[in-house]
Amino acid sequence: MSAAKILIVDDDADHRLGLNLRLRANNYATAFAADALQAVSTARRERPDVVLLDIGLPGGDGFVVMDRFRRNADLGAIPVIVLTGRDPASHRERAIEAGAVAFFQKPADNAELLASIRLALGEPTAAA
Amino acid sequence: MRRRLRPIAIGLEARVRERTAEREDATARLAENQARLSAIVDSAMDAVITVGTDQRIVVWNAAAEAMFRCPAAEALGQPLDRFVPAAARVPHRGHVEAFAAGGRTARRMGHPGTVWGQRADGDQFPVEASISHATVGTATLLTAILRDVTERRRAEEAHRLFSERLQVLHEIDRSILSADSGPRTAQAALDRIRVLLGSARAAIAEHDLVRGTGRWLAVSGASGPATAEGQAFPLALMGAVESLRAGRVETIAVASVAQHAAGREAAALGVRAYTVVPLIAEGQLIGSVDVACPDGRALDEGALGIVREVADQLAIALRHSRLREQILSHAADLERDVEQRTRELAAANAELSLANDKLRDMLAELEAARREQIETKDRFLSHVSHELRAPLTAIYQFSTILQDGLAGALSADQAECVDVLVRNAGQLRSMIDDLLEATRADMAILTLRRRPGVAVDALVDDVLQTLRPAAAEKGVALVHELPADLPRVHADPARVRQILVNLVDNAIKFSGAGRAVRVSAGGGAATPEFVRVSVTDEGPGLTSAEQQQVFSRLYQAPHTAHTARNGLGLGLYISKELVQRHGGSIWVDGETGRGSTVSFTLPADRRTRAAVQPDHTSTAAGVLT
Repeated sequence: MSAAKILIVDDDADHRLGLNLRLRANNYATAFAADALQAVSTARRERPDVVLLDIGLPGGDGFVVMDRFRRNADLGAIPVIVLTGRDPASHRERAIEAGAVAFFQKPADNAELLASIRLALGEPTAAA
Repeated sequence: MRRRLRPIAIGLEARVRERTAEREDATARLAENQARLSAIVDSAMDAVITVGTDQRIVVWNAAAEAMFRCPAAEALGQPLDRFVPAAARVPHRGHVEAFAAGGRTARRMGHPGTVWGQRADGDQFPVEASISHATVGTATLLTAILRDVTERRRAEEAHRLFSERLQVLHEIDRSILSADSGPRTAQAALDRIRVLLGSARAAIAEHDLVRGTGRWLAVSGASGPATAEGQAFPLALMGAVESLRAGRVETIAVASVAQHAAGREAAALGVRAYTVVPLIAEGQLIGSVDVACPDGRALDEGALGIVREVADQLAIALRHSRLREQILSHAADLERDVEQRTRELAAANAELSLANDKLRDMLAELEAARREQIETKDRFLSHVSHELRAPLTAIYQFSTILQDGLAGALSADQAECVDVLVRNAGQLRSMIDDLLEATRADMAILTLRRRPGVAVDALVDDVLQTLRPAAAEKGVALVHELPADLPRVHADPARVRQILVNLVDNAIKFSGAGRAVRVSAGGGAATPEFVRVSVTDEGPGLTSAEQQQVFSRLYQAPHTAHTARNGLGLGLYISKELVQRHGGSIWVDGETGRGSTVSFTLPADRRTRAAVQPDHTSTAAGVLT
């Protein structure tokens, strides 16, 4: 069984690198995008199983990206986990309404984030 | 022969005696009747006079004697003309003859004021008469029954005058009541005076003693420009003012005032003298009634009496009229005053309204500015928080990568260094969170997403699970004692969780190894509307002064401040704000050395209060370490 592929959408290169290390250590394949346009095109090309999506992005924010996914038959079913520095008080609800399966404020607890990814992939949560 | 004639003679004599007796008897009876009639006629109250065809008097009773002041002895046989006034004799005779001929007269007999008698001494008097006639053989006898109506006529005249005066006084009264002007009242009075006195010329004036002038209110008869109504004149025309003031009547000779235009006009109109009757009201001389003297003679007592009577009434009327005018004028002034004030008030109100509008606008601007300021500040805070989180996230990510050995195995010293790094990153993160929340509490923009049926016990479980690693690290036990029938609450579950994290985290901080932190809850028997949640630690406790301060912003427990870093001290402050936003309250119990208990309440959800799970019948107690 090939590893699940996770698309990391973030304009912060350090963050992309850190997540890449963390996810690969947990046996996930990764793909990257640094802006909204890249997010959609990479998703089309790479067909990820889960998207970790930042909100503050160049060329259109995370909500625009989710909207594009929602309108695209191939991308509409991919679970999106929002991972952002933005305030949950004003963004959590909005993100869930826009179709996100989970919302994390940075820095997210590693264990909680991994549990959320496993939930989105339909994997047993006990797996480490 | 003689013997044959004798019985006849005797018969005749007898018959003559008989007849004589009869006649004597009849004569006696007639005399008796006449005496009786005479007595009746003489005792009558009215004069009874009978004249023969030649109009000479044949009957003249006692009342006639008194009425005409002429004894019967003198009157009998006299012609009736003697007792008729000379001027009426010719027509009177005609009337009598016509009546004698036809029993009718052209005059209506007995109509008062139409028949006049003349007494023996020439005095004339009005009579009421009724006349009848009787024919005796060829002779016609006329009998008149007369009544002297002098007294009645006098009474009637007096009554008429009295009525007239009453009428005048009544009209003056009416003009007072009908609020007539002075000139109209004066005119009404003047009209009446002229009727009563038959005087062609009279006037009523009001006096101004201060200026020494008068003004004609009403003038009757012909007048010139100097005596026209409304015209002023010098008071010298009215004679001595002091005398008038004393209520005395002045009679002025027109010749004595010829130097004044009004005087010359009066003279030109044929007035030689006039009488001035003062009008005095409440002791003040206010005017006069001036009546031209007929034929230059002073008014007689009767006329003067009438004028004075009218003057008294008129004075009151004029005084009333003047007072009324003053009152009306004063009322008009007041009304103008009120109008003026009303206008001023309206203007002031308009100004006030304008000022209010401005103030409202300013307040709205201020409010808008305040909102904008808050929004700007909130945006700034979000931005700062976001920006701080980026490097913090990198520190956390990479230090945990090192810690988890994802970048290669670490020596024991290295692992210890990385642990410190990770722990501090966590502290920094919670400080940033608290700072943001506290500032929002300050700005009163903490948001709540309340929903019904929130289970407190589940939240407590979750929080204790989350904090279990930190507690275990310090050797602190986490215990909960929650009743199975704990009512659900109407609250924002994320905020309740936040409150619980703050309180339990705080309790762990103040507890030493081997101690326990206990979370309990209750329906609150005293306040069934609320659910109480308490977090108890076995730490050093708080003094009563500290108990009052712990919820204030930036509070730091003094005995912990030097020994360890405990964040920004905003946890209890944020918790208090959140509890209060829910409508609950928060407080602390306990004493120094015995640990402390922080309790808060949340509104129970009435609709789901009864909906308790049936399998939780006893108090669940568990140790989560």
